[in-house]
Amino acid sequence: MPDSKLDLLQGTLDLMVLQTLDAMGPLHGYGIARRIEQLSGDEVLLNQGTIYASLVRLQQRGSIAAEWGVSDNHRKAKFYSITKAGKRQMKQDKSEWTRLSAVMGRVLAAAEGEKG
Amino acid sequence: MSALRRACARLLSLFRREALDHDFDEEAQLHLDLAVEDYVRRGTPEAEARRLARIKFGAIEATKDAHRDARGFPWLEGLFYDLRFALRGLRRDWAFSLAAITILALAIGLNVTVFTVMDAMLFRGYPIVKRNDRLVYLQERSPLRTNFLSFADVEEWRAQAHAFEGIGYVSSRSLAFRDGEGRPIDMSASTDFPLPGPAAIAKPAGAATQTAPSGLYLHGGHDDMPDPVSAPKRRVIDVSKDALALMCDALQALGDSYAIYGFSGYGRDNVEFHVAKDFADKLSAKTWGALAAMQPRRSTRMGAAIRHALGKLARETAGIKVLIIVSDGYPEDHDYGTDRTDREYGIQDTARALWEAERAGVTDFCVTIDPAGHDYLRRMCKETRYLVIDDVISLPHELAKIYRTLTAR
Repeated sequence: MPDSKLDLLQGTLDLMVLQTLDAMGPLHGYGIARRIEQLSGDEVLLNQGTIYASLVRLQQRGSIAAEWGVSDNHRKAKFYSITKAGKRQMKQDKSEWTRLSAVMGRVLAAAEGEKG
Repeated sequence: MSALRRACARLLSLFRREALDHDFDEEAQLHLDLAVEDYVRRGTPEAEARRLARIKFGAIEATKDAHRDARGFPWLEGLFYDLRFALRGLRRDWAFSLAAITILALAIGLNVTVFTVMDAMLFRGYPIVKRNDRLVYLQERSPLRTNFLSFADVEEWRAQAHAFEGIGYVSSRSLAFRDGEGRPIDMSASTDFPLPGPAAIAKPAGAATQTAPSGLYLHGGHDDMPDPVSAPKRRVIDVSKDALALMCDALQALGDSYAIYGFSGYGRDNVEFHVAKDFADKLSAKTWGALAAMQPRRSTRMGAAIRHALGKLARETAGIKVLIIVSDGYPEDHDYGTDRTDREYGIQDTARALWEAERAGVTDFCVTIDPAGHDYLRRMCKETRYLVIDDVISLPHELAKIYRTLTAR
C-alpha cells in the first residue's frame, strides 16, 4: 500500500458521486462519502465536506435530485438520487474515463517496456 | 437548456441564501453526528470520535463557502459586498465623500459638455440639413493656400452643377458681399437651409404689372434688400405690395381693367412671370394671396418681362394702355451681357423693349427706388417716363399720381 493518499483529479468526484448513487440508490451526503471511501480502499484523500459542493453542482445540472427524508437513526436527512439525465451523463463520463485510463495505461506500459 | 437551468437555479439561490445556508448546516451536522456514531461504534472514545469526524469533514466554514460558490454567483455576491463596504466607507467620512463626489460630478459634467459641443461641431454636421451624410464640401485653394470663394462662383455652380440638390455658402468669417456699386448683396438665399433644390433657385422675383383702361406695373426686385435710403425700415417688396394693393382698390373703384405681375430672371432660359392678377381675373382673395406670396427672387431681367406683358396688353381692347414698371435696381442678370459686370446689354435690351411698347401704343413708365436710378433710367426711358423715389414709403402715393397722369384723369 502506498504511503500517501491520492489527490482526486478535477471532475472525478462528480463521476464518483453519480456512480455511487446509481449503484446504491438514494443516499444522504455522509452515506455517499463513506461509500466512496470504502470503494477507493481508503486510498483517496477526500475531505468529506467537498461532497456537498459536488452535490450542489450535480443538482443544478439536473443529474441528481434531492429530497428531505428520515435516516436510519430517525434523523432528518437530505437524500440524493440519480436522474435519467444523470445516468446519461455518467455513461458518457465513464466512457471517457475508461478511454483515458486505457491510453494512460498503454503509454505508461510502453515507457516501462522501453526502459526494460 | 442545461446552462439556462443552471443559471436560473444559481440566480434563485441568491434570494434563498439563508434558507440554503440553514439546509447546509443541518446536513453538515447530520454528517458529523453520523461520523461520530460510526467511530464510537468502532470503539473510539466519543471525544476522539468528534475530533476525527471534524478532521475528516474538513474546515466547516471553508466547506460552507465552497457550497455557496457552487450554488450561486460568487462574483455577484462579491460585488454586492464590495459595494456595501464602499458605501459604509463613504458614510464614515461624509465630508470627504461629499467633496470627492462633487469633484467627480463637475469633472463628468465638464467632459460631457465638451464632448457634446465637439460632437455637434465636428461630427454631427448641420442640424438643419436633413442628410448630413450626403453633404459635400467644395472649396477653392490658391497656390498661396488662401481659401476664398467669390459669390459669383457659387452662383455659377448653382446654375450648372445639377448633381447637387442644392448649394449653400458657409463661412467661418462674417463676410459682406457688395455689387459693383458697393451695394450689399443679400446672401440669405445662399445660407438658409435646407438647401434649395435647383427648381427653387430661380423663382420669380417680386414684380407687379398693372394695366388700367391700359396699364402695367413691373416690380423687378432682384434681392430682398432693405430700402438703402431708409434702412432699416420695411423692405421694398413689402411696401410695393402694399402700394399695389391700394392701387387694386382704387382701380376696382374706377372700373378700369388691370393686371398685376411679377417677374424674375436667372439666365435667358429661366425667366419667370408670376401672375398675381390677370386682366380677366376678378379681384378676390386669390388675388390678395398671390400678391402676398410675391417674394424677392433672383435677377431683374426686364426686357423679357416687358415683352411678355406687352403680349398680354395686346389682347386688351382698351383705348389707353399703360405699363408701369416698379424696380429696385438696374436691369441685370448673370448672362445679361458679355459677363456679369456688363450692364450695357441689359440697359439696351430694356430700352428696346420700352421702344417696342411705345410702338404698340402702350404708355410705359418706370419707377425705381434705387438712388442711382437716374444713371440708367434716363438711358432707357423718355425723360418724362421715369421716376426715382428716394423713400420707398412714398411709393403708394407716387403710383397713384403716375397712374392719374398717364391716364389723364
